[in-house]
Amino acid sequence: MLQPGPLLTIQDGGRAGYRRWGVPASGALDPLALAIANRLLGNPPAAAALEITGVGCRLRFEAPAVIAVAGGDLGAWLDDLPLPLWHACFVRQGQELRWAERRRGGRCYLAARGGFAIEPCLGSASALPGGPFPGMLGRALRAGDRLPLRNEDIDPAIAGRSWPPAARPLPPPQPVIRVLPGPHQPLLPDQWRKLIGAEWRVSPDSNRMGYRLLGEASPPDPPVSIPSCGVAPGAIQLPPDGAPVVLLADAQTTGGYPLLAAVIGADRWLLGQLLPGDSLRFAETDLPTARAALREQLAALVKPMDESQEWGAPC
Amino acid sequence: MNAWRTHLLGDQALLLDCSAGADARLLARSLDQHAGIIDLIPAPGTLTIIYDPAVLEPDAILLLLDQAHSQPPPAPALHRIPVLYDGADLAEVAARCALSPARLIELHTSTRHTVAMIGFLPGFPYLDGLPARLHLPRRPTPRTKVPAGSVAIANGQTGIYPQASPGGWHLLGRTDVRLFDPARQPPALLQPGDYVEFEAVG
Repeated sequence: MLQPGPLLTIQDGGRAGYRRWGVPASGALDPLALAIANRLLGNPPAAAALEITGVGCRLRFEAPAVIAVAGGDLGAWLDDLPLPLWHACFVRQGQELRWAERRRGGRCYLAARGGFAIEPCLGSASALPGGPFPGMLGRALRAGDRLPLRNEDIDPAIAGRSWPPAARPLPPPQPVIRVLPGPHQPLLPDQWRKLIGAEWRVSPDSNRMGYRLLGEASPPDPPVSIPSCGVAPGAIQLPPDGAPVVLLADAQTTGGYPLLAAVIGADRWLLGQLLPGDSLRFAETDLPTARAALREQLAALVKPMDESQEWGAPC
Repeated sequence: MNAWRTHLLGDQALLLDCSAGADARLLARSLDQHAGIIDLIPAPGTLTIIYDPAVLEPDAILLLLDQAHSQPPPAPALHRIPVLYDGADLAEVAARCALSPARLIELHTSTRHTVAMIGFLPGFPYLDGLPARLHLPRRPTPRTKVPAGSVAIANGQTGIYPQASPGGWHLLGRTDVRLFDPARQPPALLQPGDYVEFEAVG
């Protein structure tokens, strides 16, 4: 690890089953890109990878590896050549990988064939910065960190595989994110109308726990108070100041703010590609549409690898 | 006739409002370990269910909940937690509540507290049962760092910080008891419904 950039953490598919103990699920903010990077390499789709946020990250490989980078296009370079996204690539010992320019999206995932040799905690190798996990799972990665690769079988035949272009989820610059009305939406009709109708910007006061949204903040009047309850990533809270907060993977497991809406599972990856300053809108949808979208998305992850591989140029 | 109302929390979670009488923990037990149930978060009057829509639909979950009535309620554990009452806010809280510090400690340790919810941090308990005499709103400005093990009060509840963290509650003391250990199964010491009694030490 030479430079981590704005935030570099180890993330896998997340930590399930411990929210009742106050442990957030964590995991990749763009689970689609994580799955694709892994599937390109023949890894289990939820295997741990590096989540790269924004530009500035620089790594050096101290051993050869077969890797894949998927997700946002942050201008990846391997030494002095551009590194193609959505491809499995062979990397030699001593080569440097860096992300230099934000072109599309905000995060990407670097997976390695065989995965990283990280001891999982509570069933997952996802990091929770500031959390009660030891070593690299309890913090963001920093300059000087060494991440061991498992590198069990580097099959040169894998390098060169690419994900079919039609199946690559490319983040749009101004996404429209589908939501279902939340449990407390009937108490907040004005705020709901504004949520669906307005353009919102991700506040600088945002992180993997949640995005605070700037725009037509509408403090509820009279104030709405609800008892604290368990919440989930994707839920949109409406605090007293009226600025909606979209909960993300590292969010606290319980909350006392009204739940205005919830982002549908199939659109959570769009949230993962946003950075502070980006704009977004919301659109209302219904449960059948949400379920169909998620089914379709999962099917699209499986299908490309069942067909004959597209052999791209080796890196 | 259901003793709970169901709300969608997106397409992968449900929020059950059981304030009409059903016990959230009881409902949680009827779902626990079931295929397709990913997580359960009980809280006073509610249960949040996080599920896998590829395996379960909301209607199927509601059918499972009907089995809750045939289960006995879980037996709550009693935890005795030793506390060194030397917190940064002890004197101030005592003064504001018109008590001597000794009397404040006596009130806090002679109450049986109940775990209402675990949240905010891994293993952080919200404890009900704080005597009305000690009810104070949160501090207007939270501290950026509260020491690990801090026992604190606010809004009629007691909380214990399992790790150092920002915090806005009034610090009464510290405990060495490890509230969260990822190597332990379950990793959290306390769960909703458990009883807690504090003992002054040192």
